[in-house]
Amino acid sequence: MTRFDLLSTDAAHRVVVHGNLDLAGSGAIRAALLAALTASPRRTLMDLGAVPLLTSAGIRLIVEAAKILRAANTQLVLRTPQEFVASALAIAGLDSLIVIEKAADTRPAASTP
Amino acid sequence: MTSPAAATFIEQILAPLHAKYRELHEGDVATYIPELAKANPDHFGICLTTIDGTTHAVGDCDVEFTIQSISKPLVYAMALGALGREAVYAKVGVEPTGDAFNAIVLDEKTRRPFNPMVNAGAIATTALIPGATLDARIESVLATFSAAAGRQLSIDRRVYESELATGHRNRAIAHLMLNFGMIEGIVDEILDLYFMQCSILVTARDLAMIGATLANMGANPITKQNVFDVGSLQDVLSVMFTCGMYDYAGEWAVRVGLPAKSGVAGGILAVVNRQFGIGMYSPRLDALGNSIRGVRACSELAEELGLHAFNLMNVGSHFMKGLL
Repeated sequence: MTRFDLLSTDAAHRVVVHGNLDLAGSGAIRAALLAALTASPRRTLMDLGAVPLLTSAGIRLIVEAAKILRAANTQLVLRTPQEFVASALAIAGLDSLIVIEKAADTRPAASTP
Repeated sequence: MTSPAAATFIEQILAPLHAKYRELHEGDVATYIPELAKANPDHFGICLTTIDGTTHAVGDCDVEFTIQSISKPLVYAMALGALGREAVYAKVGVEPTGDAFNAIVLDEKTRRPFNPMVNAGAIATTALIPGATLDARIESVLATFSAAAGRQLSIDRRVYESELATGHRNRAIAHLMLNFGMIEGIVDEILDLYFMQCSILVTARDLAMIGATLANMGANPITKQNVFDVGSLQDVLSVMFTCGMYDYAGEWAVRVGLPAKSGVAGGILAVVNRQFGIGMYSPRLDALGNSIRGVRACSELAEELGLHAFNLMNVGSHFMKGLL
C-alpha cells in the first residue's frame, strides 16, 4: 500500500512517497498528508522517485496539496518523477501551481531537510 | 499508434479494475424480457478502443449479448444524419426526464417524447429511419451498426421474438404517439424495426469500437469508413450525456461525466470524445436498469484517467487554448 515519509525542518518539509498514486494509493495517504501540510504549511519538496504509477486521482491529490501551500504563500516542489510520471505531470499543465524538478535538475538546496 | 508507455499504463489500470469488480455480485439479470433472464450473471468484460484502433480488453469481452437501449443513440445519429436536426427535433425533444425509460408519457405542450433515450423517443426516432420497405430499413440499421463495430453483426431472433411477444407497453407508447402525429406509418412495422434494433448482438469489444467510431468524428478507426454524419455527433453525445443512463443520468454526469448509454442486457457504451470508446458488459443490473459493475468500473476508470468533462485537467476549448 502507498505510504509517505515526512522529514521536516523549520524551513521545509520533505515528503517521500512510496507506491502508486492512483485512486487507491492517493486515497491511502490523502488525509494524513493534507493534514500535515495544513497544520504546518511550509515549502514542501515531494519526492516522486518511488512512484511508478500516477493517475488523474493522484494528480488531484498533488493539486490539493499545492493549493494548501499556495494559500500559505509557499510552494510545492515535485522532485525526480519517473519518466511516465513526469510526462503525466507535464500533460496536466499545472506549471503555474507546481514546480517540477527532474532528476537532472536535482541539486543540494539550502532549504532541503 | 498508442505509445508502449500509454498501453502499459492503460493495462495497469484496467486489469486491477476488472479484478476488483469481478468480485461484486450485487444485482440481478433483467427478466422482463424472458430471453434476457438466461444471461450468465458472472460475465464481466471491460474494453477500451482508441481512435487509432488499438484495443485493450480484460475479461469477457467476446461474449455476445443484445444491444438493447444502446441502439438508441446510434439510430438517433442515423436519423439526424438522414434528416437533419430540425426535422428530428420536430418529432423528438432533447430534455431529460425524471420518468422511467418506459413511461407512457409525452411532453404536454409539444406532444413530443422528451428525448431519444427513453422508449417513446427511441420509437419516434426509429420511425424516422428512411427506407422503401421494412426489410430495407432493418438492413440499413444492421449495416450501420456493423460498420460502426467493424464486423458483420446479427440479430438474436429469440430475443426479438421475446420482445415482440411481450412489448405491450411499447405498443401502447407507439399508438399514443401515432394519435398525436409524432410517428407516421404502420405502427407494427415501426415496432418491428425497434425490436429488431434492440435485438442486435454485440460484445463489449464491439461497444468499445462503436464508441471509438463516435469518438473518431463518426469514422470507424480500423476500416476508416464514415459511419455517422460528423455534424450530428455533437447532438448525439449531448443527449447521451444528459439522458443516457436512465434515471441515473444526473448522478452519472456528476460521477463519470461522459456521454454514455446503457442497455438492460448489461452493456454500457461510453465515449471520450476524440480519444477512445469504452465498452463494458456485466448483466447484473441495479434497480434503474444499469449494469452495477459497469457503472462502478466506469466511475473508477473516469477518476483514474481524468475522463470527466470537468476534470481539473480538461481544458474547456482546445481551440481557445491555442489562442489564449
